[in-house]
Amino acid sequence: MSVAAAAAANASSAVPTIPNDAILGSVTIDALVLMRIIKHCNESPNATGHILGFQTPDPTQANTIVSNLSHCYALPNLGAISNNNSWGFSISPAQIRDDKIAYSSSMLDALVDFNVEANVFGLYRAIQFGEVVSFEVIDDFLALEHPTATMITYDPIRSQHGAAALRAFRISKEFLSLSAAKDIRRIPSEDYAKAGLTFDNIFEEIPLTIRNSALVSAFLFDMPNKTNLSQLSLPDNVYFERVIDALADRINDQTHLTASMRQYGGRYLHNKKAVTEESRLNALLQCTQIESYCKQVSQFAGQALPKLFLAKGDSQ
Amino acid sequence: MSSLTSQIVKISPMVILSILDHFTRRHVDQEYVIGTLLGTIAENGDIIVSNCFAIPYNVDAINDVEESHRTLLSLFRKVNKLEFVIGWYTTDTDIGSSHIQLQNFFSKECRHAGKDLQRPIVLTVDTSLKTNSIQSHVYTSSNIGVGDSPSHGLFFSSLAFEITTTSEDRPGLDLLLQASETGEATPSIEPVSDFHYLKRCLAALDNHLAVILDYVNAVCKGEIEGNPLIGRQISHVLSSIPQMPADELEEAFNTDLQDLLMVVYLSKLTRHQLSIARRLQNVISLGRDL
Repeated sequence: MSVAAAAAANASSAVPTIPNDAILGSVTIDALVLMRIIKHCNESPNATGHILGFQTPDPTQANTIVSNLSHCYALPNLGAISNNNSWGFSISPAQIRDDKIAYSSSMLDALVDFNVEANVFGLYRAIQFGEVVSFEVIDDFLALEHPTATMITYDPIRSQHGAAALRAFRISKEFLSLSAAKDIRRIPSEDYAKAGLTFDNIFEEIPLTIRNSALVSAFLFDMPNKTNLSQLSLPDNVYFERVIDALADRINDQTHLTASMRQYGGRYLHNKKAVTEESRLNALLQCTQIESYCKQVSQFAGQALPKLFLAKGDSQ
Repeated sequence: MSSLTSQIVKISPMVILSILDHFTRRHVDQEYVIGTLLGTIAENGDIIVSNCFAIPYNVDAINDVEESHRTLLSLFRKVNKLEFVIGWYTTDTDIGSSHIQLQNFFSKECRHAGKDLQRPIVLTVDTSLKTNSIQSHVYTSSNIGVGDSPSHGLFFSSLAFEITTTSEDRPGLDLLLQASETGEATPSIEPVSDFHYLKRCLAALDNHLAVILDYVNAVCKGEIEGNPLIGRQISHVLSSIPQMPADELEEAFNTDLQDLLMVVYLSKLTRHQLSIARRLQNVISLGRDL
């Protein structure tokens, strides 16, 4: 056996190859990435950014990979600038996309100097009331052009009332093949139904692990006031009020939409003019959003009820 | 200068984590890493360090340092315009003459920011682990010179600082601390549900109470001498428990409970309604049976 062949065999055993059709099984997040996401999500209600790292095969599961997310950077909020500028002109979505690409490529250029793994393997977003999916989110995700990318969501308000509301998602295979063929806003709802897709399962939740490096552990060892008892305070009705307000708004929107669809439907019978797919998809999307608000309410109540009973039991 | 002494530098834990990360990613032959500190100045004069970024370490080529700093600064400023340059960090704990050039450069940068920060701060983080802990120090500088003559050098003096956690950072930091408690080589943890979190908090509270109880018992038995300060604090905590008549409490409890159950009921109802809507949609789209 030649030396070159031996070296090649060595190299292939050292760097395990990832099959092309592998799926993303779980993600690991470094302490720094977690804290940067939290900082940015608290600063801006629609914060978003890119997460960098490397992928390795999952030793416990065949054809599955793990994303190790070790660095991230925030993206500027270009959309808000375009919507709120005082001069009245707006920036087109294509322009925003180009600006984002330019920003991330100059950021990646700078980070390479510091031995950061310059592979974008996902994005993070601030969310409110558990609302995960929207057309903008899907657009941003597909712009990564990576089938095994991940999306990390953080709900800053929710996290103030319990454990850190951090979740990881991957995109479903069915949706990926559907979106490869058509513009996502023009996919007929029949195709969704045939592929077994709803707005619930476009993104699939996957397990997430937080990891500290040795230096981080050493630093945390000396951190003062280690236990946090603020979560023991009785449920805060302000949060409830906000979720329910948002829920009521959405239901209102939905009613309007249904009414306008009914008009369309009437016209459909008379003029054979189809309901536009976009409005139908919008209706489906809103259903999912309302549902996620409802889930938030039951989850939040799920932690509020035991607290209430604890308080009562305590006082007797 | 008198205002300087009352200043406290408040550092976000994220900044330290960034510096540690930067240090682990240093080049093979690189001894120290440096970077820019970003932050704000509070109304009472406290300096709040809330962000930072790495810059290449090359004291011999200060121009490269400047260029890299400006590029990254413009990128970070696009995300958060409220943070500006307030100083720099290094993992070289031996502050001395080799840092004068950098300090002078950052003095110019701070002036550009247009805020009344007289001198940039220097944050040193000891990553050598020679002292069994990650020690940080904060310094600022003043000119050494006579009258109006040009400065002959810089005098670095240390500033009071603390690593502060805001309530926003707290949930994340809790996760990291829990991971560290597992005691593994690379500690890791999965985020838990709110209910488990509540359980953890209660266990922590139980521990605290046990400690206090042990202390009080020991004092009562005369095993240790009571500390009036601790005694006062315990009585302060005890008096902060609200005293409510039983019937008032019962009523408040019932009202809250009813509100909660009502909200849960309504949200369940909405969800059922939605699932009916979804089935109808499928019927329309595919022409299938219910």
